[in-house]
Amino acid sequence: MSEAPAKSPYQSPDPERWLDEHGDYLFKYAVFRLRDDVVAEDAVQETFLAALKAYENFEGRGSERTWLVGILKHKIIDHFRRAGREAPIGEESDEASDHREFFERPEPWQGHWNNNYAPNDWHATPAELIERSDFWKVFDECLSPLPKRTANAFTLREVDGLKSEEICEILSIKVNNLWVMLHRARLHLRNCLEMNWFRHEQ
Amino acid sequence: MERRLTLRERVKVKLHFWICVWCQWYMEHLQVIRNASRAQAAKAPDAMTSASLSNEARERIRRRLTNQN
Repeated sequence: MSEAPAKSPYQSPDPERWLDEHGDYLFKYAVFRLRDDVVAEDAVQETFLAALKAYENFEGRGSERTWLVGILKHKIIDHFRRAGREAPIGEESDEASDHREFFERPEPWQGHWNNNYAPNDWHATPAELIERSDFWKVFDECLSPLPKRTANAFTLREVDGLKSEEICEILSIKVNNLWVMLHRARLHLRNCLEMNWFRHEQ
Repeated sequence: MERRLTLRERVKVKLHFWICVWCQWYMEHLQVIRNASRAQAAKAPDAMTSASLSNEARERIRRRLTNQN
């Protein structure tokens, strides 16, 4: 989709055009991170409303879409901060499975991979996966069963590349909680991708 | 993946990888997931989900923006 031209000094904001040209893009960006359609819709609406207020600050140096995504990122983080304050960690429904079935329990093999769940060779590179839109559909579906806060922690760290300290501040959690969440999210996601993508590809 | 390992930890992990290909693959997979996610997020963040803005939500937002503008 072609980008709208850079702002001229005489342009007024055009929220209807923004919605038509950028609404779906912003929604997809938001819902992948927020894991909730209604919250993502609100984030998109709040983004456009904030953009209307701040339009004078948009000097047209970058693209309109980049500017809107910048506002949306702040809205997403604001939502995470509010949610983190309202729901302290420790609620059972928010904890992902520790997948202990993946590992042997009897001595002397305690902690070793259980044959049935041990990783296989994927024979794949990131560059190959980026070209496959069907891979990302499976990826998104694999994230869905995770508790929201776990999925949020995962996307902030693995997709957006935020540092642990930043994520802890945003989600109102301690660093040990974060590491447990990330470990469980990775265990789950890796296994889900292997079952639903990599095994079929081979 | 979250913090720098101590020298002792790095040695232990490397020794373990020599004898455990499953753990080696596990670490490779986590790197593939990380690198692919970040590359995709930079290149086409809207392609990471097939969800899209419903017509109902679109109209609700349109009405709100019209009232505001």
